[in-house]
Amino acid sequence: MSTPLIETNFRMIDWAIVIAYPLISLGIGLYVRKLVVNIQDFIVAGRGLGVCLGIATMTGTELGLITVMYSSQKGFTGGFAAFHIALIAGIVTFVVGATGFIVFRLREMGVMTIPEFYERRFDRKTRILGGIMMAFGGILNMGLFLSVSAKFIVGITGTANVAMALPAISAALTILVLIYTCLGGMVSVVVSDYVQFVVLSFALVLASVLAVAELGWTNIFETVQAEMGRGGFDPTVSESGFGWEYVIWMGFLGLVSCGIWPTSVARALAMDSPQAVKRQYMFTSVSFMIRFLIPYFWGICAFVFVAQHENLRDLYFPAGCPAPAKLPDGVVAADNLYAMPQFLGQILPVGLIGLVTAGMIAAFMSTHDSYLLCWSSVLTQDVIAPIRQSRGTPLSSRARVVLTRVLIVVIGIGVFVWGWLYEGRNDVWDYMAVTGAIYFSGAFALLLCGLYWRRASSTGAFLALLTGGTAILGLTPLQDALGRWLTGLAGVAANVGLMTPLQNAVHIEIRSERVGLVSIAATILVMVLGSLLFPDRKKNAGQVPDANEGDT
Amino acid sequence: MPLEYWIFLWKVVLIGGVALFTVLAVVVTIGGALDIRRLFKTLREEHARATAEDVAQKEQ
Repeated sequence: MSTPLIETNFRMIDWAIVIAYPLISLGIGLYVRKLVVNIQDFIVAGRGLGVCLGIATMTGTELGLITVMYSSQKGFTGGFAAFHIALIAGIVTFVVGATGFIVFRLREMGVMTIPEFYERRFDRKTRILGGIMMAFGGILNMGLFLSVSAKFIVGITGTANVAMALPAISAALTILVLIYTCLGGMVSVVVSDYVQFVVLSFALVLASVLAVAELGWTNIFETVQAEMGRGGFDPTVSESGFGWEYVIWMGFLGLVSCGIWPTSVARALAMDSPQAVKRQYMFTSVSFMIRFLIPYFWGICAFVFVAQHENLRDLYFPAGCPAPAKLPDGVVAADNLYAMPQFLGQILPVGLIGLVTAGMIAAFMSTHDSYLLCWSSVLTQDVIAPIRQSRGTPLSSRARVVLTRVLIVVIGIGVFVWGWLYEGRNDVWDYMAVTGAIYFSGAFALLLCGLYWRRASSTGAFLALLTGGTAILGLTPLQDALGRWLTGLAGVAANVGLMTPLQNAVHIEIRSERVGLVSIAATILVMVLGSLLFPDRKKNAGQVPDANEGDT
Repeated sequence: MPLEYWIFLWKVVLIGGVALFTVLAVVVTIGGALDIRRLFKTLREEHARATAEDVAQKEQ
């Protein structure tokens, strides 16, 4: 590993802060465990969250270390043009809060999970398929959390030259978060989210001020302009790497991440009233913008820092800056995910680095535990429990808590393994958008039509969920596999005179935003056509039952 | 849109966003602590009630 990657201000006092924080969290988890009585406490914290705690937990969940890492990567490669994602996310979240779009009605119904809504509005098979799609997309989505988060810790602590540092840190993080999540469910999750919110909020602001003090406000903008040109500021031009299609895709992702993404919606469903949900969203819109904005800014500052240090410039941009789309043969650039933590490691003073790292570990824990809890409770509540109920052997509340805990461990181990196996070319953010789309493109159609269109039918819903699965084609390894398959097919086709069209199709590179937008349009179309062609024959079709009916 | 406007827009978004977030962080830190106290109180009461019910069932 190159020497510049191990330079850091991280000292023993910082290690002490970093080790103390998880131990305190573990203590809270042990205390909270005694208070969890039933599945409602475990999954939605007894629906007892006030507005401030709701804002803290929603921010804590959605501002994870993974968010900071993929956002700083976007800032590093896209400059200030990446800010459009943050601005759109803030505006869309505010609009969802002001209008109550989707979340208000869901909370009003008193459901615990989105698939539970599917059953009340459509039927049980839609709930089970919805639960499977949600858990599949969601678990894939968190597949890179561990490996990317471990890179932050390795980068900021300067342990890149320590053998097995990455897997060892990943394993330690996994064990910590599994114990913590299994202990107290949603109650311990919201408490850890709150602690994270407090630590990280102040760390984010303070580190940003220090970054500006180090590099100079004017210098940051001038360097980006000199190195990236117009593309460093204007997201609508192609040289920014974004473009209009990407901006529209980000608008949709902004809506999804606050109004449809289950970990966000789980916070809305845990609020003490539907009115509180609206207030929660309007206030959280600031956090939803900041969770992207400050990491983008850190990524931009890291870019400026790298651009002005010759040894780092050679490391990250060996073929010139900005990096060409494809590096020449034999030229290898350092992983740009290390740039931001390395930058922080060199500008933050002793003590503050420890605090920022502890805050980031808190961010990792609060996101990872929320996601683990979310996908395991979806599998318990929306897949296994309905199947058991259909067979006449319903699960007790206590059995559900035990099953959810077992699934937390299984998913946690699965994510650990996947993080080291996956080799894709997508940016981390684009990987997450694509894997998330497996679930949310179908879910968007079902929630939109289910809540606001009386003629939406269960057949249309089922078909739309299946169609949403096509979003997986946005992953580069799958596109490569498809390309290889077509190469083989081209060989066969050459013998029968069909070579040219197949040869053209062999090199597949579809931009993730295009796959996402097409799959969303397709799911809505399938939902509408399916509902019109196969309407529900039930007497109460289109009616949304209240919270007391049909709860499993 | 001219480049200067983009630069001005992002400066406003960054400074405005961080300022708003700082205010929010202070409010949520204080309000959230009060919410946690209330949540724990409710859970302790439910825990005590559930324990009392368990004891009553065993006695029957």
